[in-house]
Amino acid sequence: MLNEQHILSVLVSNKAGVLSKVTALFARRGFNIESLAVGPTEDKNISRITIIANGDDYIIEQLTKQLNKLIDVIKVKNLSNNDTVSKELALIKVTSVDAEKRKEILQMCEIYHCKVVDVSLDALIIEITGTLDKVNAFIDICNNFGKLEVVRTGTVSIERGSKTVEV
Amino acid sequence: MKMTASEAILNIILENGTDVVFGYPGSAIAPVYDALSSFDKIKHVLPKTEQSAAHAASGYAKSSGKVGVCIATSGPGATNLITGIATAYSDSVPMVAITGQVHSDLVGRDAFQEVDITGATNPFCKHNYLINSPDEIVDVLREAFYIASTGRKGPVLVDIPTNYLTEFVEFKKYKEPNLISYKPNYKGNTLQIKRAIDCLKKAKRPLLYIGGGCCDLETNKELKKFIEKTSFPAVTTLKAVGAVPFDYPLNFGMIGTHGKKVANYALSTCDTLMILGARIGDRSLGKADLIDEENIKVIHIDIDPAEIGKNMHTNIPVVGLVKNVLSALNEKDFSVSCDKEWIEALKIKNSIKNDYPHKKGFVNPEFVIECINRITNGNSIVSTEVGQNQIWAARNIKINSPLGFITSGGLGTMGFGLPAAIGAAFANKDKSVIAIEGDGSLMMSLAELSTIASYNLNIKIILFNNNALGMIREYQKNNFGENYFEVFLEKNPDFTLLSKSFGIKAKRVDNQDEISDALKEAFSYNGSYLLEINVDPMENSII
Repeated sequence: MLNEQHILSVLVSNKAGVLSKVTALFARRGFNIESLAVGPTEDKNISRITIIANGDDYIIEQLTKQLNKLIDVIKVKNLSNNDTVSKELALIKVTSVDAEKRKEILQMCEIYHCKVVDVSLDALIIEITGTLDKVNAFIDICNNFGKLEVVRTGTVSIERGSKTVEV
Repeated sequence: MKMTASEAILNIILENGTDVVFGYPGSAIAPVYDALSSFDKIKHVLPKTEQSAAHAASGYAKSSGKVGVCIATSGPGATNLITGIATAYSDSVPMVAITGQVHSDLVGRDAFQEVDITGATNPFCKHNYLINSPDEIVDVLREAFYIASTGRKGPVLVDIPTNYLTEFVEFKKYKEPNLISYKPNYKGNTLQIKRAIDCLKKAKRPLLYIGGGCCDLETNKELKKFIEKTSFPAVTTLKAVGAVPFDYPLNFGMIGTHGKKVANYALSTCDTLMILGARIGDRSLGKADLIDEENIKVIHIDIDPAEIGKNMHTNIPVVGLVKNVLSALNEKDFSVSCDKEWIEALKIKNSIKNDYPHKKGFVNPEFVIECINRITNGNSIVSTEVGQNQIWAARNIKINSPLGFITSGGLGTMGFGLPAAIGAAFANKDKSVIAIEGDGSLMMSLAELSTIASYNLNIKIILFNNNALGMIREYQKNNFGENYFEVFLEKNPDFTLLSKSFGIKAKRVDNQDEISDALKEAFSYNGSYLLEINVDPMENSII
């Protein structure tokens, strides 16, 4: 069976302790999380967790079933086979930057359609939004310009068209 | 109606039909004990440690079909429950554990006797709650009972800060909880049931694989109907001993690493396997190559979709209560022509008599079980420990009721059997209860002899004393070249003297020809009785 990347969109009750139950399940059953993003939904009682996990069909099926077993999990939907929009936001701080390098970085930012959100004498902070691959590629480039601090949100996904992940 | 939260808790317990609770007091849970002192409709039983309270609640639940309730205080009281909760989780036993927590103002500050018990029990309870406001208590506790006793049953823990327990709360009229995220699929899918029938029609060597999901009275009724209708041969897991009538000629008994040869033979030669309420644990299958997965058709019926396809491939998954699926199958008209030669071969293998070999001065433990069968005729409730005693009992004991056999199957918790027998004794005042013990396991819950004595319970304690941790001794024999280490308990106490010191009548038997009379004496005695039986330390349990 093929080890593939899967996007799981999980609706959970917005209560204390729910996230720890979800993440504990991954550790306990030996599932690897690539990324995890949590936030409220349009309904204040419900949060959405977007999980990127790697695994073959067996692992993803087990993962989905075990998540569904948690009482606080309302809905699990695997978005991998669907047409989705997936984005991640990263804030990248590049330090030890001289004037020459700064110019080059700004050029790169233009090519990658990202914004510089803060500048100081020897550092700047770049905001980039995009797919996992795009963010990875940009970070690789930034590595050539100085020391980095990277903060990433993890991928969030939504289906194209009028389909939604409903309760 | 307004009442204190503690009184509300007791009323909700009662509302669920549970009339005996097992617990141990402490400061954080003291308000509940204050309410219990004047609450006549619920009996509180005080074992010697919280772990025993949880095991007793398991025994109560398993032998009555009701939800078992255990109560403990914060900190060490709560952590002592953990093994009992995990044991119940492994065996899908409906249980509600109520723990007192430190004052709500102190939660999170490492107060005296504070632990994060909801965090600690997350991996092995069906659900848990830390109460954030006294107003939640009534709804949450009702949810806890609902979750524990529906779907795939299991333990639910409710942790309540001590100051909330004395607050006045509104005791609303009961309404079945409606949880948006918890909707078990009770009814089996009609199409899948139809596919199951088509598959069974083609079967030549069909076999029923009966698990713990068949061990409630209603499911068992449907199962018996189904067996009558189809005359399929059946094997059971350790958890399902008692689920198929002992005298059913095609009941080939327990499967697994420690199961009966004929049962494992049936498993390895069937062509269609119908799994009913079982999770196909590694110990039930024994060797992974026992089943020819490529060439058999598997129909798996279970309430928990996560168990289907987890440990074995499945051709026809049916998610639903076994009761409902069997009832649907019982209504359908179909017949199956089994391979008669296969059935005959199974019958012949099953008819091989055990001649109960024994060395002088020792008693064959399986012979003891056979003698117990003659006395009880399957009408007792039997609780076992974990180890060889459990296997000797499970393979041979006659049990007429699906509620009659109590054992720690999934977790394999030593020290479970004696407190579980106490729980069963409180749930079944009219039945005799037998605790099958090993010396290692008995020593783990020894203090409960005192509980048995103080409540004047009528439990017959059958102690197989081989002065060893027999099953691990056997494991070292089979896997570590007989390098026996830390498995001989040469300094065991004198168990009969010890038992008498607790106020329990006791006797020791060393000779096989004395066992029948000794058992008769023990069973005719009105009260608890410990019968210590000398077993060869080299006696094995795998056949």
